[in-house]
Amino acid sequence: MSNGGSTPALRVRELRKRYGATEAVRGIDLTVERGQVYGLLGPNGSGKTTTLSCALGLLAPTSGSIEVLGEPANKLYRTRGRVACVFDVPALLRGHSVAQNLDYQARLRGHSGGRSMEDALSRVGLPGFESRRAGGLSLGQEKRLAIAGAIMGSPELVVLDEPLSGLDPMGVRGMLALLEELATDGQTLVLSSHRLHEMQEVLTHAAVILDGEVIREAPLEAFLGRVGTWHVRVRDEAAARAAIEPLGELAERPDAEGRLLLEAPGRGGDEVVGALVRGDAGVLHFAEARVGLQASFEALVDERRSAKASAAGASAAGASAAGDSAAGDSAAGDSAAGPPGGRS
Amino acid sequence: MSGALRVFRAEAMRMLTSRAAWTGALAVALVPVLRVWATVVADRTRSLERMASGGEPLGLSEGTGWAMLVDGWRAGLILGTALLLVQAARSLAGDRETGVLRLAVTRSASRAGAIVGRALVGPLLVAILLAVSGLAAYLATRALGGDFGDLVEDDFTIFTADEVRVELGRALVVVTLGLVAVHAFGLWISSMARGPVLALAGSLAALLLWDVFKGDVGEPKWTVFASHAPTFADGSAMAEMAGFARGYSDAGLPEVVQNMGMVLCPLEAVLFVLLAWVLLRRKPL
Repeated sequence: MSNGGSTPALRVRELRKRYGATEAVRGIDLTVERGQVYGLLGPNGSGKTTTLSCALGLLAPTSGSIEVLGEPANKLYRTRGRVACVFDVPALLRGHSVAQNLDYQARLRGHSGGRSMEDALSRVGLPGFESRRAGGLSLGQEKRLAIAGAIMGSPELVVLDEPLSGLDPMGVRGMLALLEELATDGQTLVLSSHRLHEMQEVLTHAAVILDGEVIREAPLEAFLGRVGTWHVRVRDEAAARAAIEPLGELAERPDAEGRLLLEAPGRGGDEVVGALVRGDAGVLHFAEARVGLQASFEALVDERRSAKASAAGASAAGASAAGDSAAGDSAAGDSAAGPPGGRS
Repeated sequence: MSGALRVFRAEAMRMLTSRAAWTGALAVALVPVLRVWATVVADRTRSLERMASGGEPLGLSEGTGWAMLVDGWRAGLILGTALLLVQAARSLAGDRETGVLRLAVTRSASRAGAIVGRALVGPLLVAILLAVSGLAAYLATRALGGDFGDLVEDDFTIFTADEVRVELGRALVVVTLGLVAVHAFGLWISSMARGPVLALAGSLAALLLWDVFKGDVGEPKWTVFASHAPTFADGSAMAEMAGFARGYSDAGLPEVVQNMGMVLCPLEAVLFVLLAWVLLRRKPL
């Protein structure tokens, strides 16, 4: 069934997609290894869905190469049901029952091995829904049904485009729990979303896409900051320093909120707070100092936009200088040539 | 090819379990019954009028069931032509709109497989259509007292029952192939349309326009599949068969026309499927 465990689940190289004069995707490179829960993150219109559509052979790229489980994206059918997708708007036969929808997908897949219909429905929290009409389900249930169709037969790669869009808070919670379960099973998941705060709970890796370019691709930890850093507020700073010395170090100055940054790489929070308590430092506040994915994303976007603005400013200044110079040259030329008809 | 078969199996299951398909089948069964009943009422009315004015009843004295059967069957097939177009229009344009077409393409079929699999549903639907409308017309004819013997008028046998059966069989073959081509035509229009409504409107309009103008085309009209399919302005082999079943000796399509239909309709069907593939090959799904 597997096409070689070492082959990445998805490999995208120099992907470009142009719609007329607009280049929606500009040289994207991505690699999703097996077992990862990989997030394509970015604001609306950043190129996430275009990238996924190209990867699934639904959209022809302008250039670049894409391999899905070792097969080119435009020959995705060769993977014979090892790839499954759930789209933003669930693709369902709305006049048919839940069971008929799953039967339809099973027939398309063409083989009956792997996770059964009952198992898939139970996994997505829709047991007993077999005879319900798909058109009568809520959006959250429709999404769950689409996921049930995708995970039937145990595909090696499941791609979910905006799995949280349109869901109410309870629906989001349920969906995240489901994604976490799938991730725990070792399923390779590729998710596109702009709901960063929620996505942070399930991703192992992420790529941030902005204006059709990947501005950062890294394990989730790299986005969240270093593990083993905390913010602390203590009554006795000297006692805290002494207590923490064998484990790590405390920053010299507090931040604006009066918190000190405590760094103890490789140490657990229990261990660190235990040392502070034993050292009688008088702990008033103790919290992980990692940033959220949302904050990290915003910082990346701001950084990128200001870099672009400075580059554009520099380029404009350069052009203006060149223009002035050209004007000067021109003036000089005019001067050298002398006034028309000046030789009188 | 196996991808096309997988799509065909999935689409066939979808069709056979859809409420719309069962409603359509019910209509296709009901229309022939009504048509057979209308034929009987019209024939009796004419005879009564004739007798009231002192004349003898007109028409066949034996083999009266053939005309009833053909009229009923033809009526079911005319409705069936429209239903085939609806199915074909929904098939590609509708599934593109709802994203269902993506399921096939991302799970196990190429785009060509997804189109061929859907095209293969056409012959299955045509077979069901023929069976349902034919059976309904036959049962209604039997229930209303029609008999399937030789066509006899004034003790003169115009056609034997076997001759009628052979002619009916030949007419059905041509009409079947015409209907398969109608479905493929619907798929082609569906592959270019932006949505199922436009696809249906486009394909229905094309057939209706052909009905309007086909009379002016002359003999070359038989090179077009739509002339062989039962439509509202029906000139197909089944329309001719309605005359034959009443004992009109000049009714029935010439053999060369029937042969042309048997060769050209399948070729045109294949051409439409190919065109649908060409159009969908690089379209975003």
